[in-house]
Amino acid sequence: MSNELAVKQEAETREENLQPGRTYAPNVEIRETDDALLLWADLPGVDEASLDIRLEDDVLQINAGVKADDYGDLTPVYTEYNVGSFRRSFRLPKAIDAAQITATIKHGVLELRLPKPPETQPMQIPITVQ
Amino acid sequence: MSRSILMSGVNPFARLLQVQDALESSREAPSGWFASGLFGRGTFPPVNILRDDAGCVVRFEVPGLDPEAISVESQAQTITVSGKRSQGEGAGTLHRNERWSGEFKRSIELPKDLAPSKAEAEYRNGVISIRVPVSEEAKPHQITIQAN
Repeated sequence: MSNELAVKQEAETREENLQPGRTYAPNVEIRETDDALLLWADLPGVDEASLDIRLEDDVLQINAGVKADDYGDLTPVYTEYNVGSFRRSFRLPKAIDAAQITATIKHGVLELRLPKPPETQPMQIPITVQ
Repeated sequence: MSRSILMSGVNPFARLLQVQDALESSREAPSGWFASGLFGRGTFPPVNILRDDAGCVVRFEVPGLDPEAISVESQAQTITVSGKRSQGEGAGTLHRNERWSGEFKRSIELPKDLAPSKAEAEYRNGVISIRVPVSEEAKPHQITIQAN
């Protein structure tokens, strides 16, 4: 690998932030079960307080800030990764029960559970044999 | 030159920007001991090494580890970190997976003035942070002068 680190990808957005600084796109895993969409995002260095998740129309946006405080008076002597905020948006399918979304963050991993409303969940149709 | 309030020293973003720039420039030119070229960029997990007067801080960004599987060992001047991240629950249909899983192990050799045996490590918000103090022998000592 060259000097350019492929570890983090800078976030691509149409709008820029007011404040300067780099923003990265977190790596995610997305799964779908019968009753929900599940999303995990790697957000190292992020705690509950600096996390902002919002759903507008059908766009889910994850914003997370990292604090510069951890760096205090430390001078970098050898580095392989940069630190910055995280941001990523996803367009959700219409059938998400927005009021029931739950989010937890543990050891720098965000877990989002986006439940589907009951009427869109698969239903077993009973077959009657005559 | 007039600068906007956003760029002034009191702004927290200015501090973050400074940190980012410092990290970026150190990536191009590691200093001191770390300039010896023994280090492997692209090795997983990525490491940042920072210094202050009290010693150094070695940081790895490894979110979502199984806490009981994290190990930090020191032997002479080398610090070895290993850990494991389990795969998700695997329920349902996978739409995308950009996240890594599995085991890793990485060793970092530190300069002679540090004492890895006295290091303290923590795992917070998915970041392993190891603080390595300067060794007693490397600290300045006052030598008593005897006058006859």
